[in-house]
Amino acid sequence: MKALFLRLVSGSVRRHLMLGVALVHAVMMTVFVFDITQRERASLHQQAVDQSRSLAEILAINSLPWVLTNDLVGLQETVDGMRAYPDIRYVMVVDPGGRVLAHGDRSVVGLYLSDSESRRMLSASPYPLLLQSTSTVSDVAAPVMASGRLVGWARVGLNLETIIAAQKHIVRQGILYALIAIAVGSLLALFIGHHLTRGLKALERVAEKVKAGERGLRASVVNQDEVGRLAEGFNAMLHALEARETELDASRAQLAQSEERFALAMAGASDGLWDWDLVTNTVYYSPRWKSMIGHAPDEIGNSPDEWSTRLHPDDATRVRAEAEAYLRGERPRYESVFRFRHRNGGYLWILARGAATRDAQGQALRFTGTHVDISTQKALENQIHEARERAEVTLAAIGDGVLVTDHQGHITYLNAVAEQLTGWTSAEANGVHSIEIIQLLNEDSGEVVENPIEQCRRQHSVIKGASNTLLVTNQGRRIAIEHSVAPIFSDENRLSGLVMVFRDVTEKRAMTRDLARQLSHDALTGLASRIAFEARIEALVADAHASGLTHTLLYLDLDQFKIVNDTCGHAAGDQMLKLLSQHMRAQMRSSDMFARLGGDEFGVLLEACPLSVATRTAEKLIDAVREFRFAWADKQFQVGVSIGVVALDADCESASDALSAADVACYAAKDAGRNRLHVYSASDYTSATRHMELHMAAQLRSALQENRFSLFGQVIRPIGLGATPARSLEHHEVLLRMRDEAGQPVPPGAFIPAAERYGLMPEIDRWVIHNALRMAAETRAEAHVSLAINLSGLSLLDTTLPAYIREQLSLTGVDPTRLCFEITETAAIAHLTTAVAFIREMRALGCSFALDDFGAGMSSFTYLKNLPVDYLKIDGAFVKDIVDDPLDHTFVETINRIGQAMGMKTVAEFVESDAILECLREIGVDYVQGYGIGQPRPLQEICESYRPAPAMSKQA
Amino acid sequence: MRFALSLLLVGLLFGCSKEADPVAPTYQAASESATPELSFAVHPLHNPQKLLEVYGPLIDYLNSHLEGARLRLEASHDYADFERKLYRRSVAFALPNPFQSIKALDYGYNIIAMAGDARDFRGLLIVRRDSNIQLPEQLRGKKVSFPAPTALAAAMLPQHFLHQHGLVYGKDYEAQYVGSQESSIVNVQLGYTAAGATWPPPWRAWRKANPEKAAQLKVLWETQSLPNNGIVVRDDVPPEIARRVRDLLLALHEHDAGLALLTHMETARIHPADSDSYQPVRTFLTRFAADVRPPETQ
Repeated sequence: MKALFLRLVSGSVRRHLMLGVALVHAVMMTVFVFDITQRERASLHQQAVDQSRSLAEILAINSLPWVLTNDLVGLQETVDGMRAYPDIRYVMVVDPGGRVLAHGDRSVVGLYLSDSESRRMLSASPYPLLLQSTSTVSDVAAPVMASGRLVGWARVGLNLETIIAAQKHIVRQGILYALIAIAVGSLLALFIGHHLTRGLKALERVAEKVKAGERGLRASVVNQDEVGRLAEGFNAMLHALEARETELDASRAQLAQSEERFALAMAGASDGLWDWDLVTNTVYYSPRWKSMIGHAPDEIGNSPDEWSTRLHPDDATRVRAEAEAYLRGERPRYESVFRFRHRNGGYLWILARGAATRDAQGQALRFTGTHVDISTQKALENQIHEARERAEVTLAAIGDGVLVTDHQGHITYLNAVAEQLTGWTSAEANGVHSIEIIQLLNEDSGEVVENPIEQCRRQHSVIKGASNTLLVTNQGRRIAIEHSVAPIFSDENRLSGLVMVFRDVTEKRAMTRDLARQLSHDALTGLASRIAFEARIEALVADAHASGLTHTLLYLDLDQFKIVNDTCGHAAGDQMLKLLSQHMRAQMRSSDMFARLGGDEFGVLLEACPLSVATRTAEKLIDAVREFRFAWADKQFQVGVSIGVVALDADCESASDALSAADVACYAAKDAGRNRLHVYSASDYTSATRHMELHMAAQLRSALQENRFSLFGQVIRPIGLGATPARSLEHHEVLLRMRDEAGQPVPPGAFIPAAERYGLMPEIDRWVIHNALRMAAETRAEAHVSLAINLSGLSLLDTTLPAYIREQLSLTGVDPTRLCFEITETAAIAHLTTAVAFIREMRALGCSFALDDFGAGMSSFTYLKNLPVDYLKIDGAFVKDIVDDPLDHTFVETINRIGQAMGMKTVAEFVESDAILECLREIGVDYVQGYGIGQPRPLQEICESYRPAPAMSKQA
Repeated sequence: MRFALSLLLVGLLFGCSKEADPVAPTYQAASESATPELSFAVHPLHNPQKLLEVYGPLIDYLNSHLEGARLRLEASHDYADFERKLYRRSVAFALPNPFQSIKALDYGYNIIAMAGDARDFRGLLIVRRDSNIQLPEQLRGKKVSFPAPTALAAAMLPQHFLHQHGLVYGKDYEAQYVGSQESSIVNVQLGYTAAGATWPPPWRAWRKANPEKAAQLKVLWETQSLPNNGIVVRDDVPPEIARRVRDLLLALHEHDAGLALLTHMETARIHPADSDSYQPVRTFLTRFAADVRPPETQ
C-alpha cells in the first residue's frame, strides 16, 4: 500500500502536481461546508415560522367567502388544498366558538377544540398569533375577518423535521463537491498528456482508411511542425490520384453522346435531311429536302443562306433565335415550326428537328436534322380555328347566356354570359353532361324542374321554359331565368347538338314581386295594407253571408301617440309604431290578419271568432299596449289604445259599412275615456251621430285641402247715441262658409261642431285669419272697415297662435286696431286663465275682443269682471223673440245694462225686423247685427267696395 | 482522513439540545345545552363581505330580541348557490327575490313579509354618461350585463323591456351574467358592457359608496314594477320563533333603532305579505316565459 502511494507521488512531476491540487481542494471545501451548515440552520428555522404564519394568513383570507356563505364543502376543499403543502402537521378553520368547520383530518369536523393552546387562541384578540414554536413544530393562528367582524380562525401547524433533513443534505453535497474538485484536477493533467500526441494519432487513422480504399479523405494539419508537413505531402499524393480517375470518366461520357446523335440523324433520312458543318459553315441539303421546295438537286448550293433566306419574314427572327439558343446549349432539344418559301413563291409549313455534335467543352461542331412538310395539316387547323373564332366572338357578344351541347347533351361551348350565370368556365364545363350544369328549380314549389336539354333531346322540338324557373349555379346561388332550348340538325336530318339560350331575370322578377308586396303591405310596419285589409273584409263579409259564420273586426286607434311625434319627431313615432305593432302581433293568432290602416290606426280581422272571444283578444291588446314602454333619447312614453269592435255577420252589408262602423265604435271607446273597447251596435244613437260627424270631419279635411271654404261679412251697425251714420268705419263680422264636393253650401251648424270635435278648428281659424287679413290688405279697405273674427275654444289653448297673428299682421300691414276677435262665453270660461292671458296679449297689440253668444252659457255675470273684453254680444236666441217675449226682453235689458255698466259696448244679434230694432234702440243697445240690418255678403266684395280710387292713371 | 473530517462535521451539526414536546390540538363534542342556530340567507344582492356589513346589524338586532335560537347570517356565492340552498331547504329563513319567493313555496317555505316598497321593485338600465346610446335599438349587437338569469328586477324585467323594444333575447344583444348587482354596474362603468341592468336599492348603495364612479353613469330607462323581495321561513322552524322574527321585522319602522337598521339596508320598511301578494309576479313570469325565455335558464 505504502509502496503504491510512494510510486504515485514520486516518478513524475505531473503526478505531484495532480495530488497537490486534489488535497488543497479537499481542505478548502470542508471548511466552507461547515460554515454554511451553521448559518443555514438558523435561517431555515426562522423561515419555517414565517412560512406557517403566511400559510395561516393565506388560509384565513381564502376561507372568508366559504365561511360567510357557510359553504363547508368549499371550505374543506380549501383546507385540503393547504394540507397538500409539504410539512403540514395540522390545518383547520374553526368558528369563533371553537367548532371545527374544516380540518385536514375530516373526522374531527363538527367537534370543538378543547386544549389549552386552542382556548388561548379563542379568547385572544383577532390578530395573527404564534401559538407554539419548537424545534419540531411551528403553530400559528390567523383570524378570519369580514367588515371588522371575527367570523372564525384559520390555524396551521408546520413540521420542522425537514429542516434536519435539509441540513444533512447540505453536508452530503459538501463532501461530494470536495471529491469532484479532486477528480477535476486529476482529469486536467490527463488531458494535457493526451493533447501532445493528438496530431500523429490522426495521421495514422487517415493512412489506415486510404489503405482500405476510401477516397476524398485528407489528413488534418493541426500545427506547422514535422507532423504537419508530413500530413501535407500525404494529402498532395491523394489529390493527384483522384484527378486521373475524373478524366477517365469524362472520356467515357463523350463517346456515348456521339453514338446517340448518329442514331438520330439516321432515323430522319426519309424526310428532307440537312447537315450543317459549323466549322466550315457549309450545309449538306439532301435531294428530298430540295424537291420538297420544288428544286432539282443541282439548283441549290451548300450555303446556310439557302435555308435562312427561304424563311418567311415573319418567322425568320424567331426560328434563327431558336436554332442559336439550341446551339448555345440553352435548349435541350431543337424542334421548330415555320413557313418556308417554295420555288413557286408560295410557302410550305415545315416542322424542323435537329441535333448537334459538340466538343469536350460543349461547343457545337456539327448540326444535323430533317424538314417535314406539314402544310396540309396546318391549313385544316387554321380553317377550323377561324370558323370557331367567328362563332365564339358572335356568341360572346350577345347579352344572353348560350350553351351548346353535342347530341348526347355533353357541353361543347358556353359563352361569357353563360359562364357567368352558371358559374362554370367554358374549360371546366367542356365535356361535362348538361344535367350537371343546368339544374333548375320551380321558384314557387322549390321542386326540381326537368332538365330542358334532356327534354328537347327527347322531343326534338323547341322547349320554352316556364316563367318561374330558378337556375342553381355551380356555387349554389339561385338565379331567376327565362330560357329556351332548340335542337340542331345535321345535313342528314340527324340531331347533332342542342343550344340553350337563357337570361337572368332576377331583378325583373323581384321588382314584380315588390310591387305586389307594396300594394298589400304597409311599408313601415310590414303589416298588411289598408287595401289588403279591405279586400279581406270584403271576402269575410261574403263568407258570413254564405256560411252564417261570425268573424270580428277590431279597429284600433292609439291614444296619446301624437305626443311622441310632437316631442321627438316622426322618426321616433315611426320607430314606436314598428315596435308596438310587433308587440301587438304577439297577442294574436297567426291566422288573424293585422293591418295598419294609416297613421296610428290599426285593424285586426279575427276569422271565425264570435264577439265574446274577440272582446277577450281586444282586452289582451289593450293590456299589452298599456304595459308597453317606449324609450327615445332621455324620454319614455306610454300610450293607450281605443278599440272599436264590429261583428262581421249576416247583418253586415259591406266592407265600407263595417269599417266605418268600426271607426264609430272606436271613437265611442275613445270618448268613454281611452284604453277601452266599444262593441258597435247600430241602434246606438251616439254612435250614429258620431258617424255623421265622422263623415263631416273627413269632408272638412278635404274642403281645407281643396279650398272649398269662403269668407262672408255681415255688417254691425251702431244705433245708440252718438252713432255716426257716415261710412267712415264699418264693423263686419267675418263668417265662414263651406261648399260640399258638389258645390252646394253646407250650413255652419253642420260642420262647425264636427270641426270642433275633431280638433280641426285651430287650423280653420288660422285659415280665416290669414285670408281675411289678406283681403283687407290687398284692397286697402282697412281704413274703412274693422273685422271681427271668431276664434274657437281650442285656438285659445294654442300657445303659438299669438305669434301667428302677429306674423300675419306684420306680413299684411293691417292695423291691429282694425281687428276684433269674437270668443264665445262658454269657451272663455272653460279656459279662463288661458283666455285672459290671450286677450291681454292681443289687446296690448291694439286688437279688441267681443264676448260672443253671451247669455247662452247661463254663467254667472261675475265672470265678466275677469274678462277684459270690449264688446258683449247678446245671444241671438234672446233677441229674436224680444218683441213678443217679455222674459227675453228683460234678459236683453239686464245684459245690456250690466255690460254697459262694466264699460263694454253691447251688440245684439239676430236683428231681423224693424220692430226688433226699435225695441233695442229703446233698451239702449250700442250695436245691432242681423238680416234686418244687412245680409252677409262675400267679404271680398265688401272689401272691394272700399278700394280707394287709383291715385294716378297709367297714361299720366 | 477525509472520512474522519466528514464524520466530525456531521457530529457537530446534529449535536443539538432537547426541549419540551409541543401541545397537540385536542377535540370534544359540543355541549347539549347550546342554543340551536338557524341560518338566515339573504339573496346575493352584494358580495358576501358587503352583505355581512349591510345585514349583519339586522341579525344582531334580531338575536338580541330572540330567545331559544340564534340566527346566523348566511351569504351565497351567487344566485345559483342561493337558490340551491333554498331548494335543498338548508336555510331556515331567507330573503329571496320575488321570483325565488314564489319558487320557495314549492319547497315548503312560507312568505311572511315583503322587504321594501313594491314601487321600488323595478329594473334600471344604466349606461355611461359619455355613451351615445339613446335608444334600445342602439344596443343591437352589444353586450349588456345582468347579475344573474333569475334576477327578476335586474334581469327579467329589463330583458322583457328590451323585448318590447324589438330586441330578441339571445340574438340581438349579448346578455352577460356577471354574478352580482355591483358587478353588473361596474361592468358598465369600466366599459366592458354597453349597458348594465340593476334595480334601485343596489344602485343607491353603489352610488353612495362610489360617488365619483357613479357620476360617469346614468339611468337611461326604468321598467314597470312588481312586488318586492319576500321574506320566507321554512315550515319546520318552530312557529313561535317564526312569529317572533316576523313581528320584529314588521315593527322595525316603528322605532328609531329599527329605522336606523332599515336605512342601513336601503329598505323603506318591511310590509306584511303572503303568497297571494305575489300573484302579479306569476302573471309577469308567464308573459316573460312566452316572450323572452324560460325564467330558469339563460
